Amino acid sequence: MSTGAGVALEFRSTGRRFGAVVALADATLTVGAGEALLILGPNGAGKSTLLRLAAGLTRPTSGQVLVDGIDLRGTRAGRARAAIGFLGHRSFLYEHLTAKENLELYAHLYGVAGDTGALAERWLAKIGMARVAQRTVRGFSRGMMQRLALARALQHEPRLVLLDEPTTGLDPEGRARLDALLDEQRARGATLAMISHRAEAALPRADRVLVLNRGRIAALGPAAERDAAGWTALVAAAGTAPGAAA
Amino acid sequence: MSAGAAHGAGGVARAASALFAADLRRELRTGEALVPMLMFAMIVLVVAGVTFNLPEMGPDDRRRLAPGILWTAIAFAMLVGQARALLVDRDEERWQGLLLSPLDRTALFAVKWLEGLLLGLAVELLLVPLTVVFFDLPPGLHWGQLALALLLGTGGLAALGTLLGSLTTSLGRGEAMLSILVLPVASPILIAGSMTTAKLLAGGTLADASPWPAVLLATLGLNLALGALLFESVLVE
Repeated sequence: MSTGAGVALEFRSTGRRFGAVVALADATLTVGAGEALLILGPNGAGKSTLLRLAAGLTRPTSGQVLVDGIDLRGTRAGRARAAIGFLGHRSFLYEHLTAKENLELYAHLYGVAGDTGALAERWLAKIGMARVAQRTVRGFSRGMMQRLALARALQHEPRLVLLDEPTTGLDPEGRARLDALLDEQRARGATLAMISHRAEAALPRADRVLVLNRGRIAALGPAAERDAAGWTALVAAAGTAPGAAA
Repeated sequence: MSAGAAHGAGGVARAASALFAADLRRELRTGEALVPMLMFAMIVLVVAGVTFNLPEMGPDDRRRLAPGILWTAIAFAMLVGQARALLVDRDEERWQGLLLSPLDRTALFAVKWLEGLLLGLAVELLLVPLTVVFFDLPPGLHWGQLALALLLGTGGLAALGTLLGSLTTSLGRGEAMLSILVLPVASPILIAGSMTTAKLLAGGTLADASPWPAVLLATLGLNLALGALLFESVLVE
């Protein structure tokens, strides 16, 4: 259910093939402004493809993807991309730049006005990495990279936040900081679409849950419709259905 | 602090400058593109010198041979450098980060083209004097005109490398595919560059080399226009 007035993200009969493999088939979905959507599904269900399509990193082979009503393949796509904060499987960070230099670079790329150095310092403090601000990213652990990538994705205050397994590599303190950041995003009215294999941890922040299986929408409903065990069972059933992806 | 926004004209320039500065800083810290380019250019020069037995050649033969060797070394060094830079971008997925950003695609092309051009010119700064020494060329050349010819040709090669390198990066293909795509299309630049340089090494001017300098200029303009027009369409997977 949308909690805001407008539609933040829309898939219109969207499909994506990689050769003979159908990663996403004819998906039609709207996510309202300010809504939080949790995306679940077994491995190979098409979750990451869905999120990459929403970020404009992958082109649909059929249908459309719209962010704030703007087609990501259209001439105004730059305006839509400015509204997106995406955290994928990789950090998108420059390994030979420092943590602070990375955040400053991305702030410039997203057209953030004002003192980008001060913004970077604020975010480094927020993610608990102020002490390594001047260290190059190359030597960072997986968890540190994930924290910095999270700051990279959120510092420009995107209206649409797309997170693919954001807890990957995070220790308990990192997960607590992530939870606080997600609460902050929701409080400022951002729309969230998040993939997680940990339904029990992500469910409390979700308005709706989308279950994908073999590139198709297997279920879509209010998060409160089931408890975490219920959603997990639904995903497991989808994963073991005849012909389900390994 | 305002939220991210699509760039205005000043914002595009700031974003492009920030990206250029970041890439330059990375190159200065690692030398990941320039070092292999220099190595490759030197190897071409040395191998050519040994193979053709330069000390045994007369001055006219050396002068006739030098332009082809010089432009071959430039072309292959640029191929190596641009492929290397794009490959590292892809492997570290920085490329995806750039595509995700709202930075105007023409501005992104311009930054990557400028980086390729500067790498090429940096190699030539060493390669050209070495070629003069190796081939025992007369020092009384029109150096300014030679620099202009090198600038035009290198700019054209950099535009091709940026456009086609981005295509192969988006397709997940490596240096081999880039070579296959770039070298045939780069032939007019290499021929025009060699012909122009040959005339200049013989003591002539750009006017004497006509129409080849015009070909260099035309291919630069064409490759830049194609890059600006097509860059967006070759980017996303």
